[in-house]
This record gives sequence, C-alpha cells and structure tokens, in this order.
Amino acid sequence: MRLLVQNVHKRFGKLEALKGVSLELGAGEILGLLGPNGAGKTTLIKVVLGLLLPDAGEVVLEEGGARRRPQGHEFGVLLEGSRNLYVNLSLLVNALYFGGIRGLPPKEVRPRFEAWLERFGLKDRLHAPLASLSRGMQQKAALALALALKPRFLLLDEPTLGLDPVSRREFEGILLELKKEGWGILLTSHDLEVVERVSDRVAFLHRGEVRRQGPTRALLRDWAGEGYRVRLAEPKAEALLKALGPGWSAEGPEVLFFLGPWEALREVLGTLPVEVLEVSRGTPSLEALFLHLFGEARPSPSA
Amino acid sequence: MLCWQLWSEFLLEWNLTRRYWFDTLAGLLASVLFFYSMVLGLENLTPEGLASLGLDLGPLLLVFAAFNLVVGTFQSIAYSVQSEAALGTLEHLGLARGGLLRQLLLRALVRGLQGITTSALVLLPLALLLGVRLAPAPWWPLSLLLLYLAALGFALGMGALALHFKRVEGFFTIVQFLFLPYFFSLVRFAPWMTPLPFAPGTQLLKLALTGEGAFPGLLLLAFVQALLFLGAGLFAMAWVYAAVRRRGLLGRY
Repeated sequence: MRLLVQNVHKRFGKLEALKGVSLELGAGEILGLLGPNGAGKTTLIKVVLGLLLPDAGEVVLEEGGARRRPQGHEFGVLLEGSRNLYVNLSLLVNALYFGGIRGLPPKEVRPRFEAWLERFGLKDRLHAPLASLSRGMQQKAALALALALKPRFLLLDEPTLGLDPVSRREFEGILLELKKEGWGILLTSHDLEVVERVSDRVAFLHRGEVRRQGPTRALLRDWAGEGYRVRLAEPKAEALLKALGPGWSAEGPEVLFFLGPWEALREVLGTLPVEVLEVSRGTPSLEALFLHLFGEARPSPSA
Repeated sequence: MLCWQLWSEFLLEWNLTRRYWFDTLAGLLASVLFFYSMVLGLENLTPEGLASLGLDLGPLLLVFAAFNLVVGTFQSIAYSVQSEAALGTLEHLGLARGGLLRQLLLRALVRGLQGITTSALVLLPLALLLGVRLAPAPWWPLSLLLLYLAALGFALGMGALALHFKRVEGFFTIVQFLFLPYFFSLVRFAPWMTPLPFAPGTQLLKLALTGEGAFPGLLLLAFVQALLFLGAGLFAMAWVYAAVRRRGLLGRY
C-alpha cells in the first residue's frame, strides 16, 4: 500500500504555496517532511487529508494495483496550530466522539485509547477534561487518540511540540515500533534530531517546492565530503554561532560543524577568537544540512 | 458506520447538555417567560381581552412553538460551524467518514430532536398556564416533520454562510427580528399566505395540534416546500464547502 502525492499545485491569490510537489509514502515507512516556516508543509498535509482542494495534481492511495483518492477518515492526524480535541470534554468522551464520527464503535476505540494513555502515563486522567491537562499532556492525549483510531497512515504535524525530553524520547520509540508494525508515517517537525533518528527518508520543502528528497542516511552521506567538524579548545560553540554565517551549526559545547567549501572555512578559521584543536571531515547532521540549505542560497555540491 | 456517527453526536449533545445544564434550563425558562410576558403585556393593553383584538391564544401559542422550532433549527448548523471554527476542531469534523457535510447533517438531526423536545417543554407549561387546550390529531408528527425539514433546509443555507464568514450572530439577530413578526402574522392564516416560507408547515402544525383534519393541498405544498428548502440548503452547503476548501478557509477566519 502506498500513498502518492503527484504534482500537486496550490495557489492562494498571488502566493504559490505548492509548486508541483510529488512525494511517496509506503507502509512501514517514516517520511520526514522538512522545511522552514511557510514552506508549505501544513498546506501539503491538508491537501493529502482533503481539507484543501489542490489546483492541479492529485493524491492517490495505491493498494493491490487499485488506485483511488483516500478519504480523510483513513488518516490519523495531529494538526499543528489547531486544537485536536474538545477542551471542555473528558479524554474518554473525546476519544469516543472522534472515533464515532469516523465510524468506529466505542468497544473498538476505548480499549485501544486506554492502552495508549497508559503508555503515555495518562490512564488516570481518562475522565478528566482536556483543559485540566498541561500543554504537553494534551499533545500526548491527542496523539493517543490518533493512534487509537488505527488509521492506514499517520500524518503528524509538529507532534513533539510541548513534549518534555523524556516523553520525546519515548515518542521516538513509539514511532519506530509503529513503523515495524507496518504503519506509514508522515512527520513534519523542527525537532531535527528526532526526524534524523526515526525517518527512513526525508524531503526538504522550500517555498512550495521539494528541493531535495531521498533516504535520510544516503542524503547525509552525499554531503559528507562538504562537511567539516571543528573542535574548539573552549566550550564557546553556541556563543560563536551567533557571529558565524549560514552553514554553521553546533554539535556540542566545544564542537562546531560547517557545511560548505573548504576555502570558505579556511577564511573563517583564521578569524575565530578561540583556539581550534582539530578540523576533520564529517557527515553532517540533518540540522546542519537544513541550516545549509535554508540558511542562505548557496551552491550545493551536486549543483 | 453511520449509526456510530449518529451515536457520537448524541454523546456530544448529552455531555454538553449535562455540562451546561444551568444554561439549558435558563434557556427554556427564558422562552416560557418571553411568551408569557408578551401575552400579559397585550392583556394589560387591552382590558377587554385578546379576543377583542381578534386574537385567539391557541393559534398564537402554536405559532410561537413553530417559531421556536424553526429559529432553534436554523441556528443549529451555523452555530456548530462557528463554535467548531473558534475551538479549532472544524477540520477534524471534516475528517469524519463521509465528510463534514454528512456529520453536520447528523448533528442537525440530533439538535432537531432536542429542539422538538425543547419546543414541547415550552409549549406544554404555557398551554397549562394560559388554559389553552391542545387536541393533537393522529397526523401531527407528519406536520412537525414537514416543518422541521423546511427549517433544516434553511439551516443548511445559514450553515453555508457560517462556513464562509465564520461569525454570523449579527445576521442571525436580524433574521430573528424579521421572523418574529413574520410568524405572528401567520396566526391569522389567509389562503394567499400558503406559498410563503414556512407558512404551510406552520398552518399544518396548528391544524394538527388543534385536532383538525389535514388539507391534502396544504400537505402537498408543505412537502414540496420542505424538499425545495432542503435541496437548496444542501446545494448551498456543498458549494460553499468546496469553495472554502479551495480557498483554504475551512479551519480559519
């Protein structure tokens, strides 16, 4: 089973939000959809869900040779910037209601929802109104519901927003388990460490266009020859970052990473106010690649 | 599948009524007091009684009940759209099996049943209080259904407005103020009023609850009007739903 986004265009007045976007998501796969704010990620998710009608192109579900337009109720969803549940109703009523409108009986939804709540440490809040929960707990409850609906595909828009580091790590584990069970997951997040650890493939979206996509590891390896790890004598990486231009990221208090040509790096090294202990070639992190691609327009190695 | 979608709307309505029971009770009391104080006011103005104005309390009360039902129904879908948009959950309703339109129709059905119950709870104490004798004919549910379906069609049209503009309270206040004198003009029903909106349904309800026989012509007209209103409402809602999805206005203002 595959979800195909084919040459989707969407325009809002003068703004061309999506310019011929094509993507593919298979069962048992996590696709990370990355891009700066306003790149068109949420617009694309809404087109996939049928909440937005594209000007051109289509979204297709391919299953056993048959192709059809998927229906909104076939997706488990976390939408960013929108409430996913009713704040004044209890978690249980929310689960039964949103399960019900998708045609699922309570006897199916309730045990699954309770099991996920238990996993997120929220079982004792089953009858509590959503409004009585913290932001992070609300996010977990919405996620538990999206999972309890047992959809064909999960579309998660900024799912780690508001989660504490422990919950975030636990969430990563859950995503990997779901992947093993055969769920197809589309994940958008600015939490690039999480995306790098869990996604099989990533697609970089910028100003409505897919700039680059491919298997996460292979994509990062492609840039290995262009990346340099700079080890400092003092823990001043974060402080230096503010003064450095695009292409730089911090990998720890004493380690800077630069993605770009050696000549540009050599120029900067001489001006650093901190002693440099070592410079070595290295594969960039997803964050370094993201900063390189979207920090400033710069020729890429394959360009 | 559809039954669970309907069940979920009952579940939501029950939980909201239970949570905001005080407001529900106050709303009922407000309707009873509104009509009762209107009658008291009129009686004080005419010491000879309402009969001297050619007004009969029975039809007046039944028209008020019809007004209550129509106004309650026409707001139901629009207020759902408005509150879901404000809460930020409207897009999730769009993910219902069969889409937003189906789910809103099911919600309107549940709210319609609630509206009928509410209208009955307003009508019965007022009838007791004012000494109006009701004698429902066996076909009264049919008259109620036809009036309700016409109101539902109108509600879909108003829902379409709410889907586009998101906030429509001001417009609804205008409609309510127009409806009040309009419905009360139906108390003295004349044959020329028959094709007017809601007139055949209201007249049928009046006849049904006072035990009179149904006129086949009136029944047919009420049926045609209900179908027309429902068809037009569904078309408007479907058209606006597609338009807001094209323009990206479904979940936001």
